[in-house]
Amino acid sequence: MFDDLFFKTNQMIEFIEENYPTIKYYKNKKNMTNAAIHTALYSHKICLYNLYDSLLEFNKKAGYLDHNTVGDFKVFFYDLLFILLPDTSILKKYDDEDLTYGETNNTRFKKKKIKSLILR
Amino acid sequence: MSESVSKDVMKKHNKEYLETLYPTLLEKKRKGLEKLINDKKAIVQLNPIRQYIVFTLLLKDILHHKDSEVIECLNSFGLNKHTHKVFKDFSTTFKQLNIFQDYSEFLFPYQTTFGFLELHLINKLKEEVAYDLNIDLFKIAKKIVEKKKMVVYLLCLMICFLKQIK
Repeated sequence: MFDDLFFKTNQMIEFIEENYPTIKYYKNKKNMTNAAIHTALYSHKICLYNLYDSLLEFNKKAGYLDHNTVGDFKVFFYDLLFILLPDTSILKKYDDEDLTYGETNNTRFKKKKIKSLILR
Repeated sequence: MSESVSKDVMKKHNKEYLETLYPTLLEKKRKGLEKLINDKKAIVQLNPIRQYIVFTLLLKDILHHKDSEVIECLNSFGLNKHTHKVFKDFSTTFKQLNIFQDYSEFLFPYQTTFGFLELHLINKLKEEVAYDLNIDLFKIAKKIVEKKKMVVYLLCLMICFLKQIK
């Protein structure tokens, strides 16, 4: 049973690697259960990262984005997430961020938050 | 292609996508609620892990609605502490998105945005339902890994034993 399951998951990983090389996901061929549970518990690092990356690429191709406006894009993405997410507690300020991140409405805070939440 | 034209094209695409999305979301909600209400007796009698599997499969159809019907349904299953955080009414969200689209500097196709968001919400739903049913996902993962190791170990023992007999 396990061998069949791991054969299928390995096939799936190979298919994703071949067809969608830019998509990010947790992969561990030896231990798929931990990888699946990691994806469920830290899905913002995977799904929201993929959303960020695909929108970034889309805007680059459309000519709306260059290396000078990547910071502005992070601010835009923070505002977008604030509208989309049902629970915005992950976008709010933690106690230990007081000194480095600044106030919540600042662009500095938004850029730092996106970086720590999704890109790191 | 100039910037203003491209933004207009994007708006048109997004509007068309919304027009197709609304009826499908409503249909999904109707079917999902129907299943949950009809099979309520059977679901309540299941053990927590089986309930967890059923909820993660059925609740994803009604994720994008948060009206009195949905809240009532969640409360009737005892999912009132954490799970309701994942639910949001998308008619208001898309109104806000339409306003945001007008003044944002960048483009965002609703189809891509909504697709990745749905994946994220389904994962979040799995996490929150586990909290509500008092299920420790890491403990289950650990057990599965141990069982897998045990199966391999037993197979090795069997092979050694059979070799000795030979």
